[in-house]
Amino acid sequence: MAEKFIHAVYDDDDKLLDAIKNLKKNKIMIEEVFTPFPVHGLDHLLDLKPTRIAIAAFIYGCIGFTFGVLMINYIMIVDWPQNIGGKPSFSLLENLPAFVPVMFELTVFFTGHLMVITFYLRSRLWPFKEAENPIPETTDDKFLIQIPIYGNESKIKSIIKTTDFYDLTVIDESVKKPDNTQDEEIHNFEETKTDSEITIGFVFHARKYSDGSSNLRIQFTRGRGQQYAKNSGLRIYRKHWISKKSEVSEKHPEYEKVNNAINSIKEKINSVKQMFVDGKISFEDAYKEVTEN
Amino acid sequence: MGSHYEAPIRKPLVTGNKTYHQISVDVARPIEGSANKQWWIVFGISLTLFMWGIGCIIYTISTGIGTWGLNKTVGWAWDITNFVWWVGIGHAGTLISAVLLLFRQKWRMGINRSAEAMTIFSVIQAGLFPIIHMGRPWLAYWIVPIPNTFGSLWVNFNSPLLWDVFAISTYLTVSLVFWWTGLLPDFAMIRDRAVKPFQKKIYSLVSFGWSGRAKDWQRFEEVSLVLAGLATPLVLSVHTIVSFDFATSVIPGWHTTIFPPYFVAGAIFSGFAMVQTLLIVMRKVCNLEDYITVQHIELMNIVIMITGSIVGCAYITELFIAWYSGVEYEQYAFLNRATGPYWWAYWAMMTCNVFSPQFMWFKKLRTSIVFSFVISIVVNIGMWFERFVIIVTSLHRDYLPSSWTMFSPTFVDIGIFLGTIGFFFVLFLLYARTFPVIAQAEVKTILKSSGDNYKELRDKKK
Repeated sequence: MAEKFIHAVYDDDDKLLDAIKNLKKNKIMIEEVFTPFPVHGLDHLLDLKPTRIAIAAFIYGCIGFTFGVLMINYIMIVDWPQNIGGKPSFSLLENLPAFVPVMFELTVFFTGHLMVITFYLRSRLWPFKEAENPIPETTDDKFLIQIPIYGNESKIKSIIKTTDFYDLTVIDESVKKPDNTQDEEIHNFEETKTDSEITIGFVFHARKYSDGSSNLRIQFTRGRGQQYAKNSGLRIYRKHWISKKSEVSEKHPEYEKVNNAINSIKEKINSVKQMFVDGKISFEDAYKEVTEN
Repeated sequence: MGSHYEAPIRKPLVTGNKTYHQISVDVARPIEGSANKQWWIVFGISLTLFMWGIGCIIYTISTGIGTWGLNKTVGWAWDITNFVWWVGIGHAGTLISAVLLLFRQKWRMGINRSAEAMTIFSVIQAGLFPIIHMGRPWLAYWIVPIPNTFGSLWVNFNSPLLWDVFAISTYLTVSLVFWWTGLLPDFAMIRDRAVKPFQKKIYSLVSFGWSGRAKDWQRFEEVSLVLAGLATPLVLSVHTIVSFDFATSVIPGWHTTIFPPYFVAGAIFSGFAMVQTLLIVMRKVCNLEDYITVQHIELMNIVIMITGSIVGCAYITELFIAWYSGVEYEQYAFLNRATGPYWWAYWAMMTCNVFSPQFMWFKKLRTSIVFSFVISIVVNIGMWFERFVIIVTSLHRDYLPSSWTMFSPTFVDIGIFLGTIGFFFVLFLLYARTFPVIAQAEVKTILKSSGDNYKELRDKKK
């Protein structure tokens, strides 16, 4: 599975369908589409196989009917036949008309419930399940196409830019190992103006661990728009952080060790920055240089 | 735009220049806002009635069924009348969401959520009555076919009362999952909008992590369609079986073959009337006039008119068949209904159910909101009287003139009935404040074909 995705967001179902047609024409793989309502024709366009849930429902109905017949036969005919108003009590078939309603209800009962349970399990829906739509607006009025990147990022982007898109985001799942919050976004619709300016600094991850520490992240900003962040591998108590010096105070446990680690990162950052300014490496390479190892 | 074509002659079902986002905002507004004074007043009244009902139920159970107005001749009266009345009301929801889905009626989308909610809440009320009438409700589970460790007997599968157990419980639970499945995308919308952490948590829990993937939607639509196909015969079977409670007995006035279709039509009739009552108020209170339009009200009025006329036909057929059968007991049962001591109940039923819906032939009346509201209340009252007439007038003068008697309810009978009305409104009012009352995901699918702004746009292009 690809670790990097493009999220192309649309604000209209027809624009979405046009974009998907466009992507298909260019043989771009679409991994997932999130929509706020069932878009007519989307499943055909995505070549989704027809769902077999109706077949399952039929089977469940057969099970329910069989269960009904067997249960009534056992109770009313086999186990304890009774003379009720002189009705024939020793034969299921002769007594059948009175048993039809319950058999019917059991058929419906089994079909309805088992089908819905199947749907919930297959679509992974249950209480306490975390929602997986990448942006919350996809349940409101936005339509999102998730496209995996296999080294064809620029091609995909150029295709999407020919469509009437609303927003375009690159998601890199490889850079967010310890937790699932996404930080890295590229707002391409607002083209980067000053590409030569880069800043590299430290930020804290918003989420705290239970002991009160949080991940220290290295953040790369280029121009106005592009921003990446990656965990430095250090967990730091934020209350002991001195932001002016970008190091921890003496109160921090093992502060010497931590500061040494921070300093080595700083050195690396400085050298990479210099290399970028000299034009030796690209922004992406600079990012890789610092974050890998 | 081509795929969103709809005949220009069809009236818009969503008005007010809505966008997709605007629909979300409008549906979420009652949930995100706080309750106004009127809501608290109505809720307070409902809760009081509910509490009063609980008191009467406790009195009944602790003292006995003797606290009711029943006697040796009339052994079934208010209790079963209320049961049938509530079950009947409970038929509109599934009818709207299932039958109208099969017929591809787009106007169902503005009203189906609340109609289904109403169904579930009224079936809950209905279910209370047989359980209370058992006298020892803690033994209610004896009606399910459990292995006979209590003795030698199983439940009787020949009995329409047992069919009722299966029919009502299937109906309640299948309606519930149908409703909840449709709610998932709408709960998800509320969840993704929520700013308060507690609200977000609750709506995450109830939306089952709905994410809206293309495959999910494909399954969702298939499940809705199959459930609609299942619920359609189910909804017809439920009231058919309720009518069997009477029709399979040998009481003159009950023992008629017309009962199943007659009861089903009556159930749809009363159900639509209750939907009308609730929605006319709700559209106003929750500012949903753009989604529950006069067009919706008019269409519901037409259904009320047609089913009311079917019910009227059934009343007349009953009279005719009673005369034509030549059975004097049968003849007397109907003569007694119309001219006996309960003539007022019979004519209240006739007026409310047969005559009043005929006003709906006039377009001016069926598009009037106030008039529709009045008629919906009248129909609800009439349908209660229908069940009362069928049950009490058939019983109170039986084969032995020496045991002829009258039935009059005690305060306990009335209290329990009022209690269920209170309980129903407590549930419905809570629902209106916490649930997305419009199936917004579905309404969004018809916005481009049936929204007024899109329709105008298409008209201009021509």
